[in-house]
Order: sequence, then structure tokens, then C-alpha cells
Amino acid sequence: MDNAIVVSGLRKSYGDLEALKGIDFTVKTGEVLALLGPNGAGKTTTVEILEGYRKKSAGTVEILGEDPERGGSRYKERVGIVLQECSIDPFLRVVEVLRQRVTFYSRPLDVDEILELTGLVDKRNEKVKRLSGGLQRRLDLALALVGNPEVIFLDEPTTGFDPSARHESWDIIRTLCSQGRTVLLTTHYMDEAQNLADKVVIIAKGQIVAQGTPETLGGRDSAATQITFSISSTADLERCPVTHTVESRENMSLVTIESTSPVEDLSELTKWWLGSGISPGNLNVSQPSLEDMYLRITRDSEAL
Amino acid sequence: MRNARLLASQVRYEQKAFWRNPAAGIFTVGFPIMFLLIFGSTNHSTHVTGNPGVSYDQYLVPAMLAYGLMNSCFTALAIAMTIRRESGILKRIKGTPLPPYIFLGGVIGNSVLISILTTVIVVTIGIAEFGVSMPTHPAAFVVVILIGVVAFCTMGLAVTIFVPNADSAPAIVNGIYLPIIFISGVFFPISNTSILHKIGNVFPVNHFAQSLLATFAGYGPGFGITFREFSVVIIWSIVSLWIAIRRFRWEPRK
Repeated sequence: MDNAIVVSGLRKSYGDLEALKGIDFTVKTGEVLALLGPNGAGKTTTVEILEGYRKKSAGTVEILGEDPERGGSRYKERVGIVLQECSIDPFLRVVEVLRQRVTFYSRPLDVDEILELTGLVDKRNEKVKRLSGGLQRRLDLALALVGNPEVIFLDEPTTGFDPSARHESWDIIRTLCSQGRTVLLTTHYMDEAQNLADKVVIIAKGQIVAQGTPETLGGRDSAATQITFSISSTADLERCPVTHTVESRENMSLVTIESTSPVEDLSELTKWWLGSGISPGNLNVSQPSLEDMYLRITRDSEAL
Repeated sequence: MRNARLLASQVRYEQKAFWRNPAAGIFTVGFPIMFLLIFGSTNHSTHVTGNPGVSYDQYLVPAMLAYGLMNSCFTALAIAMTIRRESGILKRIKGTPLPPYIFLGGVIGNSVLISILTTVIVVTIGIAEFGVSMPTHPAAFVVVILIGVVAFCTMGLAVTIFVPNADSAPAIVNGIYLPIIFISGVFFPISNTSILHKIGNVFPVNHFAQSLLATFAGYGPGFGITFREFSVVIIWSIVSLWIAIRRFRWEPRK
């Protein structure tokens, strides 16, 4: 099957409140989808419907050919869930918690394999309460893998991690995908989406406001390139060959150029700098980052 | 067959989790023993008002058992399940293929094992320290205990519905069970004609304690089990089970 997850026309109402107003997206087998959006946008509601915790009000959800609402334990055998906030029996050891979990599934992964995969081999006999927050989160992931899941849901999997722990988790998630598993994650970290996701969906106020690859989201690839540099004397700017805006700083000026043809503009600028002996400081050429796009898109949707 | 194995493994796991937390073990099993020793020693060789011919110790042993079993099945279970619900442990279980009734079966099985241990210790201390005699109707005594244990467990599951968060769990659960324990005459016999006695009789604890006393001390007709006493306990357990099945929450309140 090509698509592991197919969601169409998904709606959810709590009384008069419409939490989801018709969501459509698909995730191909072996892909990572990142679900982004402000708090209260409907991310967790969406994920919890997909996980089977909530009933949808309208629309269809098909994951691995099953409707999570009706799939029951046959569905739960095939998915792994990492919840947002969730503790583990504190007095038990890592390996005990995992062995217990193994008994729930008909074709579980080997405990040693899971420990290896999640980098918990050294901690196998540690009591859960002695693990750091990051390692407990790692154990959360390990628990979700016990059933050898085809689809894995990760609700904010690296919140509160230090940078190196975050990169380690990303490596684990990449390994899982290379094994053909499909991952749906929610996150507030744009670098996480940029690094992991094949596809990004932004939800705001219960609707999808943008979706695409991290590189093309919201026309990011075709958006104007920003060229910035600083210059000590504004008098020199009179002969600047490209349209620009200037911002005065303490003892220099910051020049910004929104360029739709960056190669030509840069060529003109370099000729000008070399010809007049100006040496620009802090030269920076950048496409808008995923975070810039995210902020732009969610800000626009606030105005809706 | 697979379900029976799963249930056994759940009970083992619950036992491990229970005994690893030393505070839980000491408070749950230790309290009835402590009260038995204190009350037994201070009131030794007095007689019970209203039940002439029954020595205080003979009364106290089944009474402390009633207290101990309610402690391990109702109080400890309700508090532990609320904490697990609020910390997301129950929600996580719901996301696995483990059938919910097997999980709850494991929790109840754990309470049954703790109850058996409590019974053995309390009866042994009663015999060794206070010279009470062995249960007069041992089989009926065991039946009473098992039915009471199941009733208190289902009441413990049902009461979690009314507990909004983990912090308030001990206060609410103790607030319900301590008054009931007192008006049920578990610690001190209550006059049969008092209003407290009538209120206490609505709850299953006094009926359970009376059945325990009757089977333990050979008090009353037959094997000591009377239909009237027993029906109250059974009605409470059926109603609690019905409430628990319909309304039990697996997720923290947001």
C-alpha cells in the first residue's frame, strides 16, 4: 500500500466549538509528516483521533487500511504511540517495563533490539525514576516500538531536550523510517521539522493553512532572497546599484535587499563594492527559513 | 488461554510495582496490624457491648480485617488509580492492544493477593498474641473475604470517577472511607439503636464486618452468612461495577 495514512474531510466538534473544520492530508509509507501549528490549533485533537483516543465528528480516517475508531486491538497492534505527557511506573527497571509491554503484542520486537535502537542498553537495569527527563522520553519511544509498529505517532517527542539529545532522537527516528515505518509527529521546533519531515502540514484554528515539503512550504523556494550587509558611511549608499532599505545602527547602517534575482543583484553589488573600495560587513544571503514561513503563515491565519 | 496468561503476567507486574514502593506496602498492610496491636493491647479481655459472650479480641480481629481489606482494596486502589490516570499511565495502556478488562483484572488481582496476605497476618497475630480461636466456619470466612474484596475493589474503581485530580485523591478517598469505617462500628462497636448505626447500615462495611465476625467467631445461625447482610455487599459491588464500566476515565482531566 502506498499511503499509510489517509485523512479526508476530518471534523471534530465539542458542543458548539468546532475544533477541526475539515482536514485533508496523506502520508506515504516510510515518510515522516510533521504537524505544526500554534497551541490550541487542533494538532493534538487530530493526532488523538488518528491514535484512536477520540471519535471524529465527520470525515474519514484510514490508517494501514483501518479506521482507528473501529480497529480496536488489531489496530493497536500495528501502531506505536508516544503521548505528550506521560509517566512510567517509577519504581520499576527499564528492562522490566519493556518486558511487561512485550506480553501485550502478538509479534513484538526483541527487548535487546529495542534497547540497542534507542540507546538504552547501558540503562537497562536502571529504575525509571532515576532516568533523566530526556532518557524517560527515550523510554517512551522504546515502549512505543515494542509492538514492531508500522506507524508511529510522536506528540512533541523532544520538548525540553538539550541540542545533543535532540539530535540523537532525530537519528533514532531516521533509523525507524529507513526500516519502512511511517512517522507522524507534532512539534514546535521548526529545525526538527526541517531535519526530519518529508512533508509539513500547518494547522491553525482547526484548518490546514499550508502544506508541502519543508523546502517549498508556502512558496518558500520562490520567495524573495534576503541580502543584508552593513556599511559604515551612508554617503556611499548613494551609488548602490540595487533597491534597498536602510536601518541606522550605532556606528554603521544595516542594508537590506529583498531580491527576486539574487545572482544578478549580487553581481552588481560586488562590482560596486570592488569599484569603490567599500568593504561591507556581516554579508548574509538567505532564503526565508521554515520558521520565517511558519510565522508568516500563522500570522496571516490569525487575521482570518 | 492467552488471556489467562496475560492476566497472570499483569498481576505479577502489579505486585512488583506495589512492593517496590515501600511506603505503599507499609501503609497498606502495616496499618491494620498496627491498630490490631494497639487496640488489642489496650482493651484486652474486655467484652463487647451489644454482643454478649464475644470477647473484644474476638471482635477486634475480624473488625481490623474489615478495615485492612477496605484499606488495600478501596483506599489504596482508588488513590493509585487516580495517580496513574492523572500521570497518563492509564492513557498509555489504552493505546496498546492489552484489553482494558485484563488490565483492571490485574489491578484487582493485586489487591486480592494483598488482602490474602493481610488476612493471614492479622489472623495469625490474633491467634498468637491475643488468644482468639481459628475461624469457626473457615470456608464461609474465605467466601466472605473474597466477595468483600471484590466489592471494595469495584467501589475503589468507581470512586475514581469523582476524584478530579491526583492531589485531591488521598483527601477525597479518606474523607469517604474514614467516616464510613467509624459509623460502621469497625473501630468501636456502635449502639444498634443509634442514628449513626442506621446510616452506617446503608454502606457495605458494617454488613461485611458482621459477616466476618459471624463466620470467624461462630456468632449467629448456620455458617454465619446471612442473606440480609450479604445482599447489601453484593448490591454495592454490582452498582459500583456498573458505574465503573460506564464511567471509568482512562485519561487525565484537562
